[in-house]
Amino acid sequence: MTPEDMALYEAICSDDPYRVELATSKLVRRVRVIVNRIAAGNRGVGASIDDVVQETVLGVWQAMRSGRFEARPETPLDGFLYQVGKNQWLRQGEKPIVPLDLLHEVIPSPEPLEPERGYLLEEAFAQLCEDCKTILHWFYWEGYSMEDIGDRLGILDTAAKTRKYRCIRELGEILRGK
Amino acid sequence: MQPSNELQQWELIEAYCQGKLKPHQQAAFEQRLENDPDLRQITDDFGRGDRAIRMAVLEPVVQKAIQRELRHSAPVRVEPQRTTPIWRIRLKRVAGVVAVAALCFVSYLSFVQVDLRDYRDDVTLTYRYRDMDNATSPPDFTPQQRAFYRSFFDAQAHLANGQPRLAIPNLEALARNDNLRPYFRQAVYWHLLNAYLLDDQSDNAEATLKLLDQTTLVYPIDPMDRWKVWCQINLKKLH
Repeated sequence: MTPEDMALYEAICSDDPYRVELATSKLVRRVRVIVNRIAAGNRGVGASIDDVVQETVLGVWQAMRSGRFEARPETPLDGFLYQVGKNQWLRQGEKPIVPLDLLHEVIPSPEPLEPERGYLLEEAFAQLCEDCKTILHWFYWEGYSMEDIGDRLGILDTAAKTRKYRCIRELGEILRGK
Repeated sequence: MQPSNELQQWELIEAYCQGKLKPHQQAAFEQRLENDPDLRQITDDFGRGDRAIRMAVLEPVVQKAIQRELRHSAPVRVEPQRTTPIWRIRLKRVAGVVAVAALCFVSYLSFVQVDLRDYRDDVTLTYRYRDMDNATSPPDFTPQQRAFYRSFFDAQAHLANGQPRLAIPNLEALARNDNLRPYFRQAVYWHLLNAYLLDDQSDNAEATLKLLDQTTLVYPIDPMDRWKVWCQINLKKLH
């Protein structure tokens, strides 16, 4: 990985929405070039490149965030992007007639992506107690501070924080069982 | 660093899961994880839940960024590769066969020599000569005519024996004569140009062919043979 690739990786993995947004835009441009190459070297049935790009970027982002893709100096980012892109292309029902060897240094094919990940989280979230759902929703999706949440619940912010952490652990427990 | 209360413990776990601890803090916490399986389980569960929820929060941001980026760039659509129609494949095959056949034909014209034996049995020329040897009714040939016939048939015999150099003087002498009737003159020209060809005199052969072409053809020359000599003259000129 080049220093630029590493910076992109760090931005993708950050929790700052603005950084993530910028990094995603860069990633889309890179993935688009790669998917175009895959499409050019393969017989297609009219697959939309944009669809493949979208799925590839989401897959790459998930793999990076979840730690399934480990950033290492000897691991070329383009190789990983190519593998994910090719998998997505094949998923759309395409079959390559000529194996592309544009990127010989590609790393082994990554594990299948997790398209059901969002569904699993939703399912796990539904199993939480109402208090947990409320606290997590307010904090993560509504943007309330822990002080505001404490006020709303009529408890100290430290107690609210503790409850939030317990709720996250509970969510992790439910996900472990799935 | 030991947390003094539950909140501090959680904050420590969160900082560890998010990679926010300093190296020495991280090492100390990992040491605790090794010695405390319960803490490890709690940390693992918390980390799993934390990652999942942070991803869920950021996923709409990522999707929006992807959509925006794709919207701003020109759409690309991969059109299916069109397979070659059957008629085009057949046309190519036919064209290939025709090309090979044409090549074979040109090779035949260029390398297979004219078979002059076909021209030796020309009854138009031979009947009077044969009659000449017939004692019962000798034809009224002048000595000059008799010499012409002998000279021509000798040349034909030389050509048949593969001796064009011996045939050429006879035929050239006949060609120079102005008293020949057109049929006999064209027969002489035809044999002479073939003799030149056999003797690798392509310029003379070409000149003789031109002479032959200048007259209305009465001597029966096979069109295929005519093309053969034309091809062979030009091929020799190329060399």
